[in-house]
Parts: sequence; C-alpha cells; structure tokens
Amino acid sequence: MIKKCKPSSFRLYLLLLFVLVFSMGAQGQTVSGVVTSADDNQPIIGASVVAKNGGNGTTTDFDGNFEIDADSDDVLVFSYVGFKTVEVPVNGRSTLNVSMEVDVAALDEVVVVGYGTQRKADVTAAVSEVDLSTLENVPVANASRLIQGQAAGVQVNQLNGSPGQELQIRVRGNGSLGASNDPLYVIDGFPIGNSIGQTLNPNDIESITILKDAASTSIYGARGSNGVVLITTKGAKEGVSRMSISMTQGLQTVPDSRKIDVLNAQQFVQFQNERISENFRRANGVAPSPDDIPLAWRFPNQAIPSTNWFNEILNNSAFIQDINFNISNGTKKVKTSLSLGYFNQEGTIIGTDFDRITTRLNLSSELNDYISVNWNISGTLTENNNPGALNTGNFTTSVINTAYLADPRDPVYNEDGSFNQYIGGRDGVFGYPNPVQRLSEEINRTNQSILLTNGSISIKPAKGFKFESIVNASLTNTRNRQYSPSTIPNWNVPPPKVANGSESSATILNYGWDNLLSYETMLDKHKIDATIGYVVQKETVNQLSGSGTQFPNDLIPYISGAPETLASSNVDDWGLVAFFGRLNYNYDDRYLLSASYRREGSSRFGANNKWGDFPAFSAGWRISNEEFFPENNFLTDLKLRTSWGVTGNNNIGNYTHLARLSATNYVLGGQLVGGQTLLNFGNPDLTWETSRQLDIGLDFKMFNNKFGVVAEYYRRTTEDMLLPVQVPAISGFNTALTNIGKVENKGVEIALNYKDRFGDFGLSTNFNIAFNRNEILEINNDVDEIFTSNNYYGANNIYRVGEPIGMLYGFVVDGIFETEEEIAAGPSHPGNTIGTYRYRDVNGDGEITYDTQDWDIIGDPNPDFTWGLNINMDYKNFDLSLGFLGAQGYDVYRNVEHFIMNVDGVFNTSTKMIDRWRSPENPGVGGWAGTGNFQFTREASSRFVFDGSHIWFRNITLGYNLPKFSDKFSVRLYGTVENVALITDYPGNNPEANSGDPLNPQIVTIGVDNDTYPVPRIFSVGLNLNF
Amino acid sequence: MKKIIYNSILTLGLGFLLMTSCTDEFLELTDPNSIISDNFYKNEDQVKQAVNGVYGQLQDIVTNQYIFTELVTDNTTVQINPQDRGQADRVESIDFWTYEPSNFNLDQAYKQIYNSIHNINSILQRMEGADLPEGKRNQFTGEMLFLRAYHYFHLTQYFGDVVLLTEPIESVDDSYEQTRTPSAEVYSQIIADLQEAANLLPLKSEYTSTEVGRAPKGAALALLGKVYLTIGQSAQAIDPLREVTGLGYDLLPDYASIFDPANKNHAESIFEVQYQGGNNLGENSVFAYIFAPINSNGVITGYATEATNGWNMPTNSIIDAFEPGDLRKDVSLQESYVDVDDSVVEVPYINKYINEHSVPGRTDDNWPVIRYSEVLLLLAEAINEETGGSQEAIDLVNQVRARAGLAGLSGLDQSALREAIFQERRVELAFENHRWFDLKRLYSNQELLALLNAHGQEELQNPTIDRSGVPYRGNDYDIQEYELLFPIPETQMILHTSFSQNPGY
Repeated sequence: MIKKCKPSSFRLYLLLLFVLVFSMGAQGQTVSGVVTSADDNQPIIGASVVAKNGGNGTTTDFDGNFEIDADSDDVLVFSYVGFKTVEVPVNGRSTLNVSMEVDVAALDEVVVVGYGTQRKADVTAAVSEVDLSTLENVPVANASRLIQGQAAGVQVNQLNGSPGQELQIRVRGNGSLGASNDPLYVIDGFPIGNSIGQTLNPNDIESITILKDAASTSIYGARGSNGVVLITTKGAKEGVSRMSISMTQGLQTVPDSRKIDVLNAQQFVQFQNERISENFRRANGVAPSPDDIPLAWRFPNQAIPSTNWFNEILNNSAFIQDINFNISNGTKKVKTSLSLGYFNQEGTIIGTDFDRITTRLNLSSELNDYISVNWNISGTLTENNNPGALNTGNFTTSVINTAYLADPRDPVYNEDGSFNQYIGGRDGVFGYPNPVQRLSEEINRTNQSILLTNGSISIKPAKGFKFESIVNASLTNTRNRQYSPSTIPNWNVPPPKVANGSESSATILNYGWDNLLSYETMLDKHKIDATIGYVVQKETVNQLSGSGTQFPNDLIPYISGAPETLASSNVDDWGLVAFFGRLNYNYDDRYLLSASYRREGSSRFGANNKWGDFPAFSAGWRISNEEFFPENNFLTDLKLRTSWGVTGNNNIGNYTHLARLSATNYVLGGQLVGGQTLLNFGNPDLTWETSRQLDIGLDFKMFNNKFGVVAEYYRRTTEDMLLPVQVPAISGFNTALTNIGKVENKGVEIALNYKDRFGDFGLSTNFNIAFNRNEILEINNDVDEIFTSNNYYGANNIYRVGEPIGMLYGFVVDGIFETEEEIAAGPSHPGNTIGTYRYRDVNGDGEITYDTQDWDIIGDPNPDFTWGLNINMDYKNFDLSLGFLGAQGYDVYRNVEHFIMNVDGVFNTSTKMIDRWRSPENPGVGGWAGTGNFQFTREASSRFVFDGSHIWFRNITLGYNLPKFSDKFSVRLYGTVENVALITDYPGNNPEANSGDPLNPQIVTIGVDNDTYPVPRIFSVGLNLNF
Repeated sequence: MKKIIYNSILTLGLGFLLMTSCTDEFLELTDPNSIISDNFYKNEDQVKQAVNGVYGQLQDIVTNQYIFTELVTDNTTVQINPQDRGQADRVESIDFWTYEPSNFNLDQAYKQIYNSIHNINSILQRMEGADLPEGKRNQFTGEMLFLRAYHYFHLTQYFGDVVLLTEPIESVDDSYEQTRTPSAEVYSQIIADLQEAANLLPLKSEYTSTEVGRAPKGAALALLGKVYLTIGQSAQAIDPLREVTGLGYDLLPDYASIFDPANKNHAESIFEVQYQGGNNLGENSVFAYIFAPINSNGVITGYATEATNGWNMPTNSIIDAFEPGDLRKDVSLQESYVDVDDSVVEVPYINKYINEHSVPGRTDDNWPVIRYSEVLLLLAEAINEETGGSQEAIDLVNQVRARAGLAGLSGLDQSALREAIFQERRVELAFENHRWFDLKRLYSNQELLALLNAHGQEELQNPTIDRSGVPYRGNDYDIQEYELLFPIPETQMILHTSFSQNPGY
C-alpha cells in the first residue's frame, strides 16, 4: 500500500520556518578608544567592534580609533582576522583601549564541510579552499571559472568561449564510464545538482570549498563520488555596515593565434585545379589538357574577390560589462546583505550574447540566545542568444565549422546590399547558407529565471546541543525559442527553404528538507562533536515543447505562424531520503578521529537495491603538538592524516531500472492506431556506482607559517559502473544498463602557498599540481572493452581493460605511399594510390579492411599532470595578480581536420593543404597526404591526433587603491586581461575543448575537439566604490 | 521562552516522524511518460496496442529492405553522389559488393528484425495471462506468428543459420548464450508458425473496416507456399497456394492502380505495409525520396525543397527485361526525366512509388508485400515443378501476362516455363523486394555467381548511370561464392563469443 502525505502539511512547516522576529538594538552611552596590536603596538585598522548585548557594531578607523554606543553593563567584542578575539566589559567606562594578540596559527579559522563547518586544524579529509582574491574584480560569466587553476586535483576546462558558458569540472579524474563525472554543487547547504548553471552571480560568493576524498564527500552518499563543490554566499558581517559598488567594462577579441587559416579564393581555385589535374593524371597517366579542367578552376592565376568567412562572423570588439551593488549591515542580532548584479557579454561571434540580472538577499537574525533564523533568497534572469548550432561539431549545421568550409569565392552581400543567400553549391563545392546571414537572422534564444531560497531555524535547547531545520528550494524555468527563416537554406539545398520553428519550456522544482541535530562538548582534553541528520529531496521537471513546420512565410516567426504544429509534454522526477551521522573526536589537539555514515534511498534504482550505505573514517595526528616536537620557527605545523570511505554516483537518469514501452504507432483502416513496443530491459537490481577511496595527506607549515604545503596521495576505485553495455540484438535490444566494471584513479596532489610581507611589499602565491593516473580494471566478464560506433568518421573512444578511460581509437598512419612498389609491398588498402596514407596493418593479415580490425589506440586524452599558479602582490596602494594554469601530456582528437583537410574539393580547406604531399621529391610539410584519396582518408586515424599540452596565462589584474580622503569612503581602480596568452603547439583554437559525442551521450567521451566557439581575450577596466 | 523552545522541538520532531512515513513519495516514483511493461499486456486493448507496435516496426524494416533484396541484384543500382562520400558508402558498398561485416545498414536491419521478434515473442508469452475474448486471442496469435515467420524467412535467407527464438529473452545473460540454429530448423519453425497462423487468422473480408491492413489468412497461406518453394518442397506448396485462389482475391484490371495510394488494400492486395502521408502523424513513407535521382529539383517528387537519394535506380538490365508492349514498363520505371530547365536527363528511376502527396517529404504510398499476381505465379511455379510444362501452370502465368497486354505463352517444357515464370516475376514484381530471393531460389550458387558477375561486368563497362567522374574501385562487382550469404554484423560477432562467422568473411 502506498502511504500518502498531504503536501499542505509540508507547507505549514515551511511557513513556520520563515517567521522572523527582529530585535532592536539597545541605547546607552558612547564608548571610544584605540585598538592596537600587542605585537608591535601599531593601531589595527578595520577591526570589528561589537556591543555584545546591544548589537551595535563599528570598525576602527585609520588610526585604530573607534566610537560606539553601548550600555554601561554591556560587553564589547573586538575581532580582526589573524588576531585573537577579545571581550571587554564596559563597566561604565567611556574610554577603552584594547590591545589584541596575534593568533599565531589562526587555529580558529573554520572551513565549510558537508552539513556543517569544521576548524581547519581539525580537518582530516582532503578539502581544498578556493582563493577568490585572484579573480575578485574580473568580470566572470560563470561561478565555475573561479575554481579554475585554484585547487590541486580539480581540473577545470573551458570547453568553448560562448558567452555565459559554464566550465567543466573534474575532481581527481574521470571515475565513471557511463554516468556523469561532474561534481555535486552545494549552495548554502543545498545540493542543487551536477551543474551550477546560472544559479549564482559569482560576485555573491563568499567562499568555495571543494571536497575531494571520500571522508568528506560520503556524507553526500550516492552523489559524492565525483567530488563536491560547496559554495557559501555572502552575508553581512557582524559590525560591518557597508555599501559597495563595482563596475567593470571591457572589450573582447579573438586573437589571430586562435583563428584557423583557410585558403583564400585564389588559393582555392589553385587547389581545385591541382586536385583535378592530379586525379586526371592518376586515372589516365597523362596530364590533362586545359579543356579537361572545368571552367571554374581553369584559370587559377586570375585575381578574384575572396571572403574569409571566419573573419566575417567575428565581432572583434565585443562588449562586456559587470555591475554589482551591495549593501550589508550586520549587528549581533540581525545581519542583512542585499546585492544586485548585472552582467552582459556580447559574443565574439556576431549574433551571440548573454545577459544576467541577479538579486540576492541574505538575512539572519537571532531571536535570543537559543533561537536564530536564517533566510537566503536569490533571483536570476538570463537571456542567451546562440544561433547557428554553435557548439556542435557538425559540418552541415555548426555555423563555426561551416565558416571554415564555405566557398571563399562568394561574397557576403549581393551588389544591391542584400545577403548572398547560398554560398557555393556549384562546381562540386557544397552549398551552405551564408554564415553571416544565419547569425543575423536565425533565432535561438534561451531565457532562464531561477529562484533559489534557503530558510532555516536553529535552536540551541541545551548547552552543546543545536538543532537545525533547513528548507531549500529552487525553481528554474528555462524557455527556448528557435526559428530558422526561409532565407536560410539547408546544407546543399538551394533556397528557399520551408521555415521551421520550435519553442520549449521546462520548469524544474527542486526542494529538500534537512533536519540536523548536533552536539559539541569538551571534557578535559577530549573534544567531541557529533551530528545526526535526516534529509529528503525531490526534483520534478515539467517540460512542454512545440514545433511548427511548413511556415508559409517569415512574417510570424512563432509557432502560431505555422499551419502545422506538433506539441509534446513530459514529466520527470526523482527523490531521495537519507539518514546520516558523523562523529568527530579530538584528543588534546593531537589525535583526531572522525567517522561518518549515511544510509540513502533513491527513486532511481531498482526495487532490489533501493537503499545503500556510505561509511567513512578518517584520522589525523598533529605531530607538531606533541611534547617531543621541538619548538622551532622552521617547521611550525605538521599534520599527518588518512581517510577511507565509500561514495556513490547516481547519475543515470530517472526510471532507467523500469522496463518501459515506447509508442510505435501504425495505420489501420486508414486511421492512426496506437502501438507500443518494448524500449529496454527492466533491471530491478540496478544500483549506484560505488567508489571506495583512500587518501593519505601531509600538511605542514614552515617559516612561521609563511610557507605551507599540502601533499596528498589518493586511490579511488569505482565499481558497479552504470553502463549501457552492448547486448546481442537477439535479446530485442541493443544496449542494457547494468552495473559492471571497475575503474581506478590514483594520484598525487601537491599544493604550496607562500605569504609574506616585506615592508610595503606584500606577496601571496599558491601553486598546485596534480598527477592523476586512471586505469580500467575490469569491464564485463568476457568482454574486455567497450567500443560503440558504427561511424568510422570522426573521433572514437575505446574503453579497454588495462588502459585509461577514453583512449582515442583509429587507424595508425605509418607515412605516405610514395611509389607503386611500396603499394605493391602492402599491406593492401582497397583503392589506394600514390600519395595516400599508409595505415599500419595492426592485425597482421596483410590487408587494411574497412572496419576496426586494423584500429589501434592512437592517443591518450588524460593529462600526465595539471597545474595552477596564482600570484598576488601589493605595493603601497598598488596590487597585481596573475593566474596561470596548464595541462601536460595529453592528446586531443581534432575532428575538424576531417573536413578542412578533405581532398574531395567539396569544402574550402586549411592552408596546410598547400603543404600537402605532392611527390617523393616534394613531400610537403606535416605529413599530409596528397589528393589521390578515396575511401579511407577521413576515417579516424592518428593523423588527426595532436598533443594538447598547454600553458594558459589566464589572467592579469592591476589595481590601485586611491589614497583615502575619508574614513567612510574608499575607491579602487583596476584593469584586467583575461585569457591573456595560450602557449601550445596544439593547432586548434582551444586545447581544453572536450566535446561529448551526441550519438552516444551515455558513454563519457573525452579528448575530442570540435572547433567550437573560440575563447576570447578580454580587456577590461573597473572601479570599486565602498561607503 | 522555554515554552517556545519546547514547542519548536515538538513540532519539528513531529515533522520528522511525518516525513519518515512519507518515504514512498520520494522513493517509489514511476515514469509518468511511458508505459511500464509489468503493467501491460493485461487486456484486449493493451495486447492490441502491442500487436500494432509490431506492425509499426514493419514500416522501418521495409523502408531499407530494398538494399538487401533489389540493390544487390541486377535490378537496381545507385546513382553516385560525388559530394557524399560518407553515408552513401553504406549503400554503395552493397550495390558494388564491397561491403564489410561492419556495414551500417546490414547491422541496422539485423537489429530491427530481432527487435521485432522480441516484441512478438513477448506478446505471445504475456498474452497467455491477459483477459481476452477467444476470437481476439486467436487473431492476435495468428498475426504474431505470421509476422514472426515473415521475419525469420528474411533472416535465414540473408544470413543462413540464425538464432531461433520462440520465447522472449528474459535477461541480458541469456542473450549471450544463444547459438545459431541450422537453417533447416529455422524453416521448420517458419512452416509451423505459418500453418498455425493460417488456422487462426480471419479472412481479409472478416476484418472490420477499421482493421483493414492486418494480416489475413491468405497472407499466411501465400507465404507458406513461398516458403515451401524456397526449400524445394513444391508439392507441399500447391495446396496452400491453391487455397488462396479461392479466398476472393482478384487481379486489378489496371496495373497502375495497384500502386495508387487512393486504392490501398485493394482486391489484389493480400498483405501490404500501411503508411499515411498528408499529415504530421509520422506514419508517412519516403520511398519516392530514397529512390528518386539526386538533384532532380523536385520534378519527380514534386518538391524541390526535399533532398532525394538516388539509392535504388533501375539498371539497363531490367529496363531491357521488359518485352515490347509490356504495359507495366512505364508504370514501373521511367528512363529519363525533364528537368526544370526543360533539358532531358537520361537517368532512369523507379516510377511505381511516385505519387502525388500533399506534404513535402511525406508520401502516402503503402508497401506491397504479397499481391495476388504473385500467388498466381507461385502456384504456377509449384505446379510446374511437380508437373513439368502443365497447361494449368501456363494458364496461371498467362492471367498475369494478359493484364500486362502481352500475348499468352504456350508449348513450354518444364525448364523453359521455369525461366518464363521467373522472367514474369521479375517484371511483374519489379522493385517490390523479391529479386534477390527469386535469384537464390532459381539458380545454383555457381549459376547465380555467373549471372551476378556478368551483370557486374556490364555495369563496369557501361554503367547505367553516369558516375560523375568517380571511378570504380578495383574490387567493385568482384563477387565470390561466400558473399551469397551476408555476414553476421560485426557488432554481433563481438558480442557472441560462441558465434562463428559465415565462411569467407
């Protein structure tokens, strides 16, 4: 029997949580004084001073002076980063001078962890905090950018440069073959999913912590395997009342080094002429007479107009701006922070842009010593224009790819100024729509509205106990509208076309309720804190979409303008329920132990495996706190720690464990009749992927804590991977989702940081480097590899036991056949001629066949190591920050080479074609084959694999703080360059590109570059005002 | 204050309990967008929908059937598209006999047919527990057995020994363990299925008007006769075929009207795959577009905006096979067309499925599977095999020839009549996906190889359609005996470790 519960009761509790009572600050006498450092008696600027009971707060001025209203029996609390907090009773005094002591190890600094915070010194898991200062003033389109290059073992790739694009994040390599490898994003405690999307304004972020090992992520159970990104948004600080405005504006360009050189019209005619002559000579043994060359290609020396289509679609002074406004007011009792943001990025490809408006209100209030409430709410509106299928790698539909390939002889505009609608389409050259016209006239607009809210009540019923009940909800609506007018022909079909349009709307409601009870106590040298929790979460997606065809004209570019429309709707949901507990034990700040356990149930899994268990343990030894450890200034802090735990990955889509049917209709008696056929095997045993991870870490600090090192070793084994395995067709299906296989990721991560001050000069730098090794240990009983492709064009990944994930797979080019003797000596390729590639006869049977028998591994897309370096400097009022990152030793399959090195004469080609093989005496540059190819030329081969190793100089920012002319007002000016320089031998525009395989979305595809949207260089200047 | 705390804890504690009791709402979620198999096949309507789904799968299966039944033969060839050296190769390599076991179309055909067989077997098994009137149970069973036989008949002629399943595979592991069943056993099952189907199925006339298009008794009998002929048991073929002649079918007087969408499921039609154009219900056919010459600017299909493939084009061989005065020739094919600029383009094309249709790209043509004229020719074939040169057999052929405006045959001995019947089948049933199986039935392997290679030589020397400068490859039309069976698709060879490939591949 199914138990039902009324949603109305749920809402009742929601309401209860949002009842806020604000208390008023008390009035009394004025207290003033000076705050100094006990170390050197220098005044402390900007220290926070708060009346403990009254709730008033202020900060000290340039000379350390403060003035505050407080009752005579109140207590003032003085705090400042890096100093120990001091509480001083007023006792009726009107003047109070305070000396603050330096907090040597900053031991009380806390770090956000799953369902709570922890003292940094007590952490026994692998947790990276992101330094947000490097990118503080850079106009950042997506929060994911803030993480790039910041944390060891966290690889962040900008897959393409389209406006507003989210970056791809991988924590400690790819652990899964079949499910997602994206981490879980948690915003203010709410697990929002595997994509951060446009949920947040990056400027609203206070801190980002990345949980990397199982000890820290297993508390997130079946969603923890890929790491967890914890984001906390900015709230007001106690004692700070501030208004700030920041404005940044900039221009974006695509540098020449990130463009692809293609033939101009005259070179194109020359190439066609040579190609036809060479083919003629091969077929007939003699040179062609002029009449044998088609008229269009007969006169290569004739000067003709030429169009560089890629340059035509660029907007090389694309505008970008980011404006943020924040008011924050924090007293002891009530803290309010309100922020507004506007971000606008034009694309460097014409017709594309991204806009985002955000608001956020973070409120917290203490009713009394026992009860406090907290409420965050944010709203986001975005608009993104992205016509022309920009991010696919399809040579017929992607406008960026077609701009490389379109006939350069044709102009953008006709003589009367109208668009030239059909490019090429004659003399054997493919016909394309005009790329400029497509970007100008096609519509592909996505509008999002996102509401995200967290409300919590926390109660401290007795000493050490805290109960917290948190309601989280997000409501996202995504609307997309597309229209392709009749003036934009289809590939290779001359205009006019029948216009088509579509529109879709998806509403996602995701809500959760967390109930946490924690207890903290200290008995002599034993410190214990324990948390238990109960959480539920559910997401429902409601989607409605419609399309129109047979539009009679372009007058009404909406579905309603079409005589024939089609609509569909669907609903998708998932839910989870989990119980968990965590116990942290600290003995004398020397021995640290932690254990956690989560039991989670998920709707996504089969009836036999609804519930799973996720335990974790960790331990730490703070050697530097041992009595035997000598007091010294050289090695000031030393901690050894280890952890082990179990996590899961449940990203397999909803309902996949059920045997479902799909509509396969028919016609009987001249009428449509409903039909149903089986869609997939049911699998009641289907369950999450399980990862077991061991982590050993060593943290130490040297030279009075100026230099810090975190070194880690980890080994993560993922089992029961959720894979769509190929099954024999006789079963009725081609694939079945099963839990099979085993993958291991192991590696070493090192993070170094150095922070020091030399008089007026301050330096803070961090460097991180990670070496990950990935190996498939097991796939499926007898089958030791997964390779699913019917298409021998393009990139292919193979998954083979003993090899890393996603190895590139194809023919191996062993050079070029230069003579008939070489061809005769074999191996035999059907239809090959002099000047074609010689493929390696991998299976040794003497012939190259048109299948995978002679295929081999041709590249490894997993980097040997990835690294990041961030340097922040300041001198007097100036500051400078630099960001570098890179990846070394990995291969990229450059898919577009199939087309831009095509010798059939149907496309424009790369200028590399000029340097192709022509004869044994004139072998060209780069090993590119001659024009005499037919069947095997473009098939996946090592010819298209390139080393992707690169160094990105990502960012440089120079700032200047204007001398203060008032205590209450500060001004900062800055200039910044983003994506400054890319140092690489990789021939494409972006070595970080990594496209998925649209044919096979369930298998992770890596190392494939489809030459999508170029990454722009962004110059911007800005101004911060603080009141 | 203490009261507030106390109350808060109490309320939230209660909430805790309440939510615990609601776990099902979070964990027991079922797909609201599709039907779950466990809840299906329970009543007449559900079983009927499942049966309809199997018919629906036929639409895709017959759409590409020409590749394996016409294109490999001397009937049709492809029009080379010099701009498409990718996708087209999947079709061209079959025409030119250079395909590999990895061929995409072969793989797809194998998968589609077994997918349909799995649905059939699931219905037959799950129907046992369904609440159904007896008459409907018989009808559905008969329909499924007929279609299972139809699929296995194709499979075994394409691949030889194939996995024979009469029950659904229940788990992934079971599917790996299956082995190939000898072709003779597959034929025994086909015959058993068709015999039972013939007993269970209603007559075409017994179907109500809303059920027109379902397989009738006559279809099972006709296919049974053809199967017997295929395995050389012509004596057994006579009875079922003769039975069909008493079921009220008749030849249409006008050959062209057989293929007119306005005339679907006519008196000559025994079984055809149903399509519907003119709307956006997704039930349209596309034969005209696959078969029409490339770049024909809509002068053949009527719509220039829709691309055409030129993948099934008449050869010189079949053009010449029509006797002078054969009324069927112009209906079946045209030897050229007039382009938009009034120039005459000498590219022949199949005309049978070129009909007016109101929505671009969506034709209304049904696909003929079994026609009464074929039954007459099959019966003639069976009788001739049993009683060489029998007048009854000649009369049956002459019925078909008479409609085509051709003079009757006479005075033929067994062998001459056999040739005449197959010649008649070639032109009467041109481009209806019969040629490959007819050739295999008529000729020994050596004779067939000689015919195919001779046809290949003709094409190599004088291609029916200009190749736009693309030369033949060295191994085009080099046909070996082993190639008379298609290879088991490469994807399946990888999965079935116990399978052995057809020899030669």
